[in-house]
Amino acid sequence: MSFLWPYGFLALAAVPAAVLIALWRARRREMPVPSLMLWQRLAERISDTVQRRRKLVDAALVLAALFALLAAGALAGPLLSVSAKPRRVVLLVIDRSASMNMKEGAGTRWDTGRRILGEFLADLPPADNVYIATTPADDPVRVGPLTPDEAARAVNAMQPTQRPADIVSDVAAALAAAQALRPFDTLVCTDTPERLPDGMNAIGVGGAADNIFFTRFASADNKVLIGVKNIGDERKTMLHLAADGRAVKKVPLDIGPDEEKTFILDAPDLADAQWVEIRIEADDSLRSDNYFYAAREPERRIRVLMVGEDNLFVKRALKADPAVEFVRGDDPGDTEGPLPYDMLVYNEAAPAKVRDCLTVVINPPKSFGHITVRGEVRRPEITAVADDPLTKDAGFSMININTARRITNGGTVLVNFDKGPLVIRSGKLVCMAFGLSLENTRWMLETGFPVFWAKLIGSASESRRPGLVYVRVGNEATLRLLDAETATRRIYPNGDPDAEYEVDGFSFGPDRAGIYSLTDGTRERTIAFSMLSPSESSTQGTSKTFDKTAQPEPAAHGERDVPLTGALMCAALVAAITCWYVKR
Amino acid sequence: MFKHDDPFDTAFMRKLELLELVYRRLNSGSGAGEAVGRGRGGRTEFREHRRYAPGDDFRYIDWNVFGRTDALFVKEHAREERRTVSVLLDCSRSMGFGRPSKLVCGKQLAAAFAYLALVAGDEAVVVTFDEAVRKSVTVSGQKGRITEILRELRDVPPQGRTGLEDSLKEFHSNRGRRSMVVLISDLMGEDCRRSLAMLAAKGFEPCVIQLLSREETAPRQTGRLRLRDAETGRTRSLWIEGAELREYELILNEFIEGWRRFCASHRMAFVAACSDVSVDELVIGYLREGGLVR
Repeated sequence: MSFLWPYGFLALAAVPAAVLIALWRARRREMPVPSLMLWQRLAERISDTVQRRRKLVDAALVLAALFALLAAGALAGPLLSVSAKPRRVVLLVIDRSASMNMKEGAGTRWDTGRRILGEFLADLPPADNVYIATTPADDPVRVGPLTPDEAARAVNAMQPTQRPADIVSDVAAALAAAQALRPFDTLVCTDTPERLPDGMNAIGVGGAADNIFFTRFASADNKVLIGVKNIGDERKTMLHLAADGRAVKKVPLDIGPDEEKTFILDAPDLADAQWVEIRIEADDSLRSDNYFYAAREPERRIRVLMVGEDNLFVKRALKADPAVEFVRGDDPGDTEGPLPYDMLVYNEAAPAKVRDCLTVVINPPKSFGHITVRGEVRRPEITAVADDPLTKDAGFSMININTARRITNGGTVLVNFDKGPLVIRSGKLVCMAFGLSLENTRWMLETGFPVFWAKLIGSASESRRPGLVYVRVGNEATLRLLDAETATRRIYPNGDPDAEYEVDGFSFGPDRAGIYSLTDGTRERTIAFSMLSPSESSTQGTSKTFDKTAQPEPAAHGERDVPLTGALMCAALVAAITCWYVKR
Repeated sequence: MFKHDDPFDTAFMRKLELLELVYRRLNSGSGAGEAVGRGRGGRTEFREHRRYAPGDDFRYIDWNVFGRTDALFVKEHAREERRTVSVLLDCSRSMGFGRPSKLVCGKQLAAAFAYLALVAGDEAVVVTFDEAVRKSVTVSGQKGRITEILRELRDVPPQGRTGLEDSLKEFHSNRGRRSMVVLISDLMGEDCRRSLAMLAAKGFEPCVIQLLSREETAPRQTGRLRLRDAETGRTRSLWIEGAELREYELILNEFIEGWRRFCASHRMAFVAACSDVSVDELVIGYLREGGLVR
């Protein structure tokens, strides 16, 4: 006999609990009564039933304990092995990772795998039991037992996921989950069969070997590092380099079959680029690995000082931008010389002096300078007025000032911003003041709020960083860069310290799809993501043998497991009902 | 000023006033001063004058005679014998059960009966007893004198065993004049039916009010219980479950029915009530049903 869920025996703890409850109920308690007269008469009438009652209570205790035992046994999922006609159990492990969506020839890898699996299942004897387990492990499907025909229908109904997969660990997890089934054999359908353990049957649905793909890509200063590998026959192609979506450079590439190259390319136009993209101009069928992206760290981080009370929404919006270095502190006041900040945010506080750097004042308790804030911002209108010289120069084109009143005050132009004023000097936004309260507006909870702050940060940046950088931190993986190791750096995906990637210089090649972050211990920034891993790109269309006619081992499959859970549950129910009846 | 847990608090006093109103309405058409129960007509009739003596009630001085003779004469009436309403209240320890306790309810009932007797111009006697008669208060005259009874009853605690038979005999021996006798007790003690029958035979008008607490009429405790008699301290162990509780209910009903049959056969009124019933409900509803008031 075996058990599907041995932890169910933990429910046996209920047995002593039931006994204790019964003993607690059976203890003698003293009850004062006005007179024993009527109770004496009762005792005379029921003198023989008292003993019977005592026995019944004992019986109820035994029944309660029996109920707990049976229920615990049922929870453990017992399987009784009985002799049966040999029946083979075939386990199918199907890779449903995102790479199975890749188009190859007329269809995707998934289509190819489904077709081959259909043919395979059609040839299986109808008596076989088929179990299906899929990867990735964080979104698995586990079905069975199915007849081969049902299994073919189930496979047809499945679709690949949008998640990456580690085929080695995911297959191991599926095998571990299916251990109790004692499968006669296992067949894995994946696009990376070469990574499977030796001897495991597999249907390989990888791309054809006419492929050039990137192995690594990174960018710093005015250079990009490019790693490419050719596992196909074509040797000439073109590389297209783009920065923030605009084409920067186009260079020819000549790489021989099975050759791998790493080289550095000069690209002077990358100075202000936030994102860099490299693309192979190739006609191979696996187009998704012809791209690689890298995010560039800004030349200098934008330092933002927040003065006054804390504001969770503002802080979160500011910290969402990896270019921002967020500092809390006191009002610099009349401090001599330039401030070491690009932007000052006053929350529930007023600046002693409006400095040249961008100053944002939220809910000032009093008037400052010529500025008095009346009312609160409800939701700023987001209408581009790119032709307005003031907002254009300030890099701030999201506020509709067409209907706002401008106030001239010496060299300063005051412009109404919703219910608060903007101060613009020499075409540069220097001060903005407004009221903000969660009681009156839900603007802070909307997407426009971090966008608004990203715009402000952009206008505060000396380099006039164009484009919005609003990156959600908390990615699938974090790459940890250890400065102490100069020659070789190591990268650890977040949550997986056992996985370790050696990095040559500043480049790296993660083998999992997803967004990555690079951290030096104090700061974290998004650096690159990859649609396909090199191993996925280099998959060959291989297939290992599966003997469809071999007979199962009698020792392993000469018996059949009969689940006893239902029978035990019924017995427990009968015990519970009898217990209730006895105690009634 | 009454204490919060005073059986005769303000609410109770209001109930007494209400009872008086109800009583007067129930007895409308009869002459004032009619006794509770079966009345016998007018109370006073002029007989003769006699010389005033110190201590005589000024109200009975005949001022017309004084005007003519300059001498003080008082009018003497042929006075019918005033009726007596005796309330025997069981104050044994068993009466201390219930919420409110049977004793509190009994005190209120005794006070209500006494009050109604005073309203009717009769004499009210309240006797408290446990193993024997403990205290006896006799009041007549104006209804305001009910306070004397309330004062006596207020602090009587539940104590001692129930001695119904002895107490009734003692009451009977001390009370030669026939009267209406209201026995308020849980009747959980020795059988006193012989004494009650004797009272009835000698012209008294006994009526019985059996007060029981909720824990007696509908006990809920189950399991192995050691029942301890509050009066004797004796114990009895019983295993009580649903079947036993149902049997107990039958025994209790038989007990009450036995008393009801006995009272009916001796033309006595009998009322069984729970101690948590409001006293005015009890008096107006239960006693009217039992024929104790009209």
